[in-house]
Amino acid sequence: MHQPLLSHEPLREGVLITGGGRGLGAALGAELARRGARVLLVARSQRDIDGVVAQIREETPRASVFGLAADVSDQRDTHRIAAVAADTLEATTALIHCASSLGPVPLRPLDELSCEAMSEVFETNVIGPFRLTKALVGHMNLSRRGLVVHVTSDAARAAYPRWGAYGASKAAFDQLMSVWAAELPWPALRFVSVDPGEMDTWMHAEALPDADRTALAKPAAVARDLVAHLFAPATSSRGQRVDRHGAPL
Amino acid sequence: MTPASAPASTEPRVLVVIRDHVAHASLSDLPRLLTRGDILAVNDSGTLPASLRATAFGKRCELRLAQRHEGPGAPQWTVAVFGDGDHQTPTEHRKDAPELATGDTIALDGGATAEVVGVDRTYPRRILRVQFLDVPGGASLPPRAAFTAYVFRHGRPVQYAHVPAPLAAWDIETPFAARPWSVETPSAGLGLTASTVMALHDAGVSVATLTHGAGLSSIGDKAHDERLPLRERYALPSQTVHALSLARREGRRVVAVGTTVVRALEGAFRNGDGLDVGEGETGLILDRDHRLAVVDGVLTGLHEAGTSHGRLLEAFASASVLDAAMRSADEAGYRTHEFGDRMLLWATKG
Repeated sequence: MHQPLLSHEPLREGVLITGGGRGLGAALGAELARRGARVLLVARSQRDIDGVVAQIREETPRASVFGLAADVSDQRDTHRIAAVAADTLEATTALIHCASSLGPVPLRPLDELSCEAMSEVFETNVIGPFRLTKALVGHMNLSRRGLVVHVTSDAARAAYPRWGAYGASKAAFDQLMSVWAAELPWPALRFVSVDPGEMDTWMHAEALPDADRTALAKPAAVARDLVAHLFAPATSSRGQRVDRHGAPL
Repeated sequence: MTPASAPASTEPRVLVVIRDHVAHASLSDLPRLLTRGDILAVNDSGTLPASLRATAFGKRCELRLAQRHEGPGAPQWTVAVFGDGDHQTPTEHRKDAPELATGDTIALDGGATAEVVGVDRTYPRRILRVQFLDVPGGASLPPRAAFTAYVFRHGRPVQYAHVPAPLAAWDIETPFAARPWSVETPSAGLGLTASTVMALHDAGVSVATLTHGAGLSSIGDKAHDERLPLRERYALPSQTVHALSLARREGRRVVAVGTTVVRALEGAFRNGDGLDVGEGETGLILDRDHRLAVVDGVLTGLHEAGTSHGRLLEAFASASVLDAAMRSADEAGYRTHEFGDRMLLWATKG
């Protein structure tokens, strides 16, 4: 699918993306910046985030893209991320949760997974994103508009051996998204869990090092599709799980 | 009255005051305390943990961010500086920091440097203007945002002796905090939950936002503190200006959540010809002589009589009405200060 470069009005959004140091998060940052949105990327590594921001600025010289080194799973960073987002984006109108942990790799069955590892996966994939969402939805609730996106996985539904911690955490956050959508039922305040499908990312290589990479989708192509439906004015999905193209799952 | 000594674990109570009539309610009753068509204006400013530990000439000291100065380049602030010690010592008993002059540097815990660019002539030992240098993490952030990130990592909430236990960052943010323009919490908004906001909407009360950077409430010098607040920055979004202007034309009431909102709206009205969209600064001091132009009521915390807070409420009601209200609050066990109970005070002057 090919989209001409300037086929759209600039996106008047301020988008905070976690997990912005690589993979889908970085690709979403590049795509949103290219489309004219203001973007703040967050990742743990200062070097990763500086590299991604520099590259996006090179590709899109007029991009309003910024980067912050912070840890979503660290409660001391929650309000720090929210405040820097407000400073750089003026108004944070969208939050995209891409940061996520697989737990120990190689992936292992539940009986071989330590309780501490399970807890760490939930800190990164559920509790941290819960805190950050909580810090941002209060204002979205006042303005009665906003978008929160959770990048989920089919491992949240299907029972794949060795994907227990990751799958359970993704299912848990899917559920929080649905409940938020039920508790804050403004039509223009949307909570969407999106399953992008298998992508050629560092995370995928960690989980499945022997996969045939040529069969995997490129993050940039997935990012184009996601932005096209998540930020489309007519999009009405709320509290739903959708696929890469916005179709309900 | 007793100050609330920690963040509220129960719902704040609300004393409703209309002339010499008082009634008791709680914060979640707000939708039924207001009338369809009323507008509730809230301050969506976030709050910096604005107390920074530092060393100057080998001596430990504390910097409290007081007032941000606009401009490109290194972030410049007016700061209050104290000697070694912390919030558990009442501000008026805090030691002085070493004497500092323009050009001196203060080493902040965390690696940044504050360079003194000005000294207040009246309070040379306490009020400085500084610029912050060597703030890390700046390649991907504008200077101001990099400083925000630094302050959130290394700063602590500004707090006073009536709250002994150290506060955490999440204790000082309101539920709808956004741009971090305040150095003390605009605390009237604490506890105003999403459910209450939904219920207000269902009751036909709209909620409008503005941003107002709340400054320090005390530096411990009586003469200085009586002149507070300093000039403060505000921003009025277009939806808010339109909603408020329409409400005023139609004779509907505007209720400010917190005195910062009163200051922003009344100050903005005085700055312009009516309310204008955009950012501005106000040095407006509210008192009994101020004639309210925009606001009809205020939801505010409770503070002891004789404070600057009490004086500014005289813009709404006479001292005798306020005294009687405070006696009622006292008898009913209301708690004062930022984590305490509230008062919904309707303007009954003029």
